[in-house]
Amino acid sequence: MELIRKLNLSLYYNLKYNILSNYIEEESSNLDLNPISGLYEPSYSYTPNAGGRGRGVYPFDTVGSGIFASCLEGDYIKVYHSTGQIPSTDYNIDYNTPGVTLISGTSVPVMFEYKWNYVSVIDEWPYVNIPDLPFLLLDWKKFNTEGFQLGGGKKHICDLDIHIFGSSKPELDDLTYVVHSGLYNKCLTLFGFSGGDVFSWGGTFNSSFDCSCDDGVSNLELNDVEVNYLKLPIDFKTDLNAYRSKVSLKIFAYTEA
Amino acid sequence: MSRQLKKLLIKNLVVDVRTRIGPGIIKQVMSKFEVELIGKVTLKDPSAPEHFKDDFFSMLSRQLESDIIITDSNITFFLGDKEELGYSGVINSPLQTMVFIIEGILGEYAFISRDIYSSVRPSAEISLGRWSGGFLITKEAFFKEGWSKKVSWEKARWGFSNTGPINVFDIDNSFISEMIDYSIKRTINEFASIIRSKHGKK
Repeated sequence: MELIRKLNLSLYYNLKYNILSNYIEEESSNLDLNPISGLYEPSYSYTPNAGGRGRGVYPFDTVGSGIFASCLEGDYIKVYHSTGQIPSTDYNIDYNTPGVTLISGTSVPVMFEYKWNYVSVIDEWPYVNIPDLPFLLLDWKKFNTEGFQLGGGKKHICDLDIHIFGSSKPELDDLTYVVHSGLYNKCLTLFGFSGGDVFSWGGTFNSSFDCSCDDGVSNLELNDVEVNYLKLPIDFKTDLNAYRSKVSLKIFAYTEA
Repeated sequence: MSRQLKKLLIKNLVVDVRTRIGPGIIKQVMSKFEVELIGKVTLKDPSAPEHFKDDFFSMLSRQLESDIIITDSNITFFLGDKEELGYSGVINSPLQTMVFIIEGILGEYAFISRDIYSSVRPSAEISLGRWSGGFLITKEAFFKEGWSKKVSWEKARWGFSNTGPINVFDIDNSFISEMIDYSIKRTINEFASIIRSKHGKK
């Protein structure tokens, strides 16, 4: 994995699991078998829900203990059959869809308890498949590398905007403040992701996931963190552009020669 | 640096910012504006950037006349002031429309022009809101409210629907340091000739 992707993922997970940790909700849902995927998927009676883009099920045991509470998959999720709990060795969790896949045993999953991200975080402009409100969108604008010190050191500079889309003014105000204060005057750990991303293809937890820092590059220095509200004209007030703000920042990272 | 030389440098920098550097930046911003925003929607649409291009240029030029702050390490002046563009309040200026476009708009919209409105609701009072020539509605409303019976979605679709951010202020600023170097050289030459004339040398 290369620097830009590591930067992107480090900030993404910092927002989703750390800065927005107060927006991680606990829920229980009934499960129904999706005959096409073979996955037992939750049936939701509310919107937004864990199934939306940029949301999903929280994979670690403890919420609010840093970006990654541990390198290991948590075991807090409980899956039930009609009369009791199914042992965690009998199933895999698909954290992204989300859902449950039986890998052994004959019990039929009917319900599960989980934590999920109320605020969606996505890392590109959603030309298709726009998430339900509220959501955050990372818009990476520019990446540049300059010389740093004599002898070949490098200074990496990233410019980005975090667009915040709220479903109401109070929600937008809260989210804007939480994101701004989570980034203002802060340094951010650059993770190495030497074993790959947190989740494998198919949404299961990546058993090779390594949450160590990247030791070849400095921590990420966050600069010029600034908030702007976008006051849209009345024509847009009834839809997803109605409550918007933008947190702009620059990220500096240094590599020694 | 002598006080006299510093004073002369500041004076020259202010002149060069107003006559060379600032206009150079504005030229680049306007050329980005042309490339990224012009010709994307019909001129009948009041949100077409062609309609507020002159206002935008005037705003940038006017802001160049405001204060220029020169310190030992920085030259600061403001172009594209966010207040005036309408970021922080509902001012309903044409330039505010530009801000929505350059910040990106999520979702699909139809532009309901005066003609479309009259063809669907011939007897209704036309209330076209702040744009006077028409208004935007979501794709969902376009089909639900029956507009699609008279005009196709493709024809009515607003050209800036679901467009990501367009940064017209992202310019190549390498020419700025060259121009500042020029100001410094010019100042040194002027200062040298002042000294020479003071001491009676040519």
